[in-house]
Amino acid sequence: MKKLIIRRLLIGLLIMVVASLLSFTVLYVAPGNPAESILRERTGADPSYQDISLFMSNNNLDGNLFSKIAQWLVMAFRFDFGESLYTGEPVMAEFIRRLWATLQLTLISMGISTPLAIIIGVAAAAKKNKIFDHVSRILSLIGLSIPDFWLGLFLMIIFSRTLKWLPAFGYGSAANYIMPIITLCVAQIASLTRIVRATMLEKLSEDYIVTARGNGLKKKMILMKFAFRNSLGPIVTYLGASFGHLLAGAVVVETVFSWPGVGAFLVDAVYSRDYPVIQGFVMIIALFYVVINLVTDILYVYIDPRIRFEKG
Amino acid sequence: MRLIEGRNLKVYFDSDAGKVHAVDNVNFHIDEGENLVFIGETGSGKTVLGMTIMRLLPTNVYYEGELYFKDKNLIKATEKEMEGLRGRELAIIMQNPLTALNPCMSIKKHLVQVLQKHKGMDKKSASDRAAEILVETGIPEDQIDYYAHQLSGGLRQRALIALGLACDSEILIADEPTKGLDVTVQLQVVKLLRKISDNKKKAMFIITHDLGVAAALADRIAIMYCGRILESGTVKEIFESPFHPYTKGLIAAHPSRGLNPIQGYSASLVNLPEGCVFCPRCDHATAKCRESEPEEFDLTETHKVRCYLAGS
Repeated sequence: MKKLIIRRLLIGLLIMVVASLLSFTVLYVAPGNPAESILRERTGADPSYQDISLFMSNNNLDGNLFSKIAQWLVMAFRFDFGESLYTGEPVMAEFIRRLWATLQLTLISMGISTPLAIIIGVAAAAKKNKIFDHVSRILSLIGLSIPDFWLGLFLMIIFSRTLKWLPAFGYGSAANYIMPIITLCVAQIASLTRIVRATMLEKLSEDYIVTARGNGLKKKMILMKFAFRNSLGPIVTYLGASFGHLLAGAVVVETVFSWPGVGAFLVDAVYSRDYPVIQGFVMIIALFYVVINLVTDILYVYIDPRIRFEKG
Repeated sequence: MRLIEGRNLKVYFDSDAGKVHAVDNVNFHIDEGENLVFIGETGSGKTVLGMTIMRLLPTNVYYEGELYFKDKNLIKATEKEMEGLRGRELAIIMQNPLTALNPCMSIKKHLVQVLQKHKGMDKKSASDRAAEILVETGIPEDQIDYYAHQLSGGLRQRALIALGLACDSEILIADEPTKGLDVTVQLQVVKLLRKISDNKKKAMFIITHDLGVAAALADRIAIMYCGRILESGTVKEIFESPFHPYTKGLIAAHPSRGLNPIQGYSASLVNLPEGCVFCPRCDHATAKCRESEPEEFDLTETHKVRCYLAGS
């Protein structure tokens, strides 16, 4: 167990280094110069060559590529990405504030959608080809097909404009959370329900289910202790992966509801080549993935005894 | 006392290829404390017959005829009634011990559940009793909390046998209990089953295609082919005076008798030959055999055969 965690941590570290190098190089190799776009915005005219090189040297954008990589690695592992080229504010302070707003949406949606999807998926598998199963499958297909932004706007029209129950956008009060979270939950419940149902059906056709029935065990027990218990592995894997999807989905939802999360911030940064912001974001997302994967791996060990004993 | 009796029992499945007659017009019975061994090739309907007694077949199955357990017609029993009988009065040792045990549950826990359900034991006494049964079946005491994947093939099979024994059912169905085991381990398992049948006076329904296993365990033997019982009789009758050409062929095919295989292949259950199902492979087939299927003829009170050679 200890060995497993240490190995995973080392792999995680390696992933972080690679991610940081990639985020560093890709941006420098990509066309477009931040100095040019920032100066154009400030002065309203095309900047001269002298202005551009002055801006670049002031903001540490010129110089030898390798020395910059070294500089960047040091910064990256202190999680200090300097100041935004635009606002001049430290990247991390702004970032953490916005990340917290995004994480709230992501985590709450995850917390609501996971148990609901599991209940619906398990029930659908238990009642395969009955009405409940058909209805849940049709609904989840619809849920998967609706684009986030469309659902967000649709909810806004109904609850904010027509019924006037909820504020259309904003941040802070509990009412502000309702529509963004519903929007995020719909797709998440829809896809997770399908995964749970499919995994359960697969496990329900295993030999040990017949053994359990042959032992005269109750249907509910067979469903939970035999089928669901064995479905946990795939479900946890999917949840780990879908956390990233939720974060990405949040970007769209944030834009629709003017939510002050990382989404809009990042899109702006990409447009204006605000390197420190983009690199900070890439590093933090990479860190999230590494941590989530580590958690998933550790959970696996508890879920599946076959892994527990394999790795000691 | 008669425990199980099948009269003109037919079991067929709906499939894309058409109706599959897995068991056709079968008559058999098992008395108290008696061991009946079913021998046949793969696909001859032995397992289907065993699973019919347990009523564990998939939902596309249809039954005709009668199958009595004491005075209860099992094929008319509801799922609820079967749940009460399974494990308590009818127990089965499934094929493939690795897949027939829940990979996320220790072998002791399998037994504890069954004991709690059928014997109404509390957790502590069920756990003690489960340990006792497992040790009696030959699982080393320090391995009773192991999971299926940690046990050797032979111990897995013993664990499955222990599970079948948990509730002292009157009937124990053993589906190919020696399949996939080393020859030395096979012998141990056969000895274990012999001990169980001698000590517990349990009636057993044993499925195998190993003549040696049959000889060691059986009181009576039924030879199955294409869903029919072609010949049945006491061990002595079957081995010393086999009548049906198929039975003779099986015995002649045994390595100790010179390994003379029966020509041809077993017929498809979807597309059975006209007349006697064995006639395409039979050296003694006549025009009559190809026209109509022979009825059961009594050679002695216990020795029955479905062959026109006996009628003429």
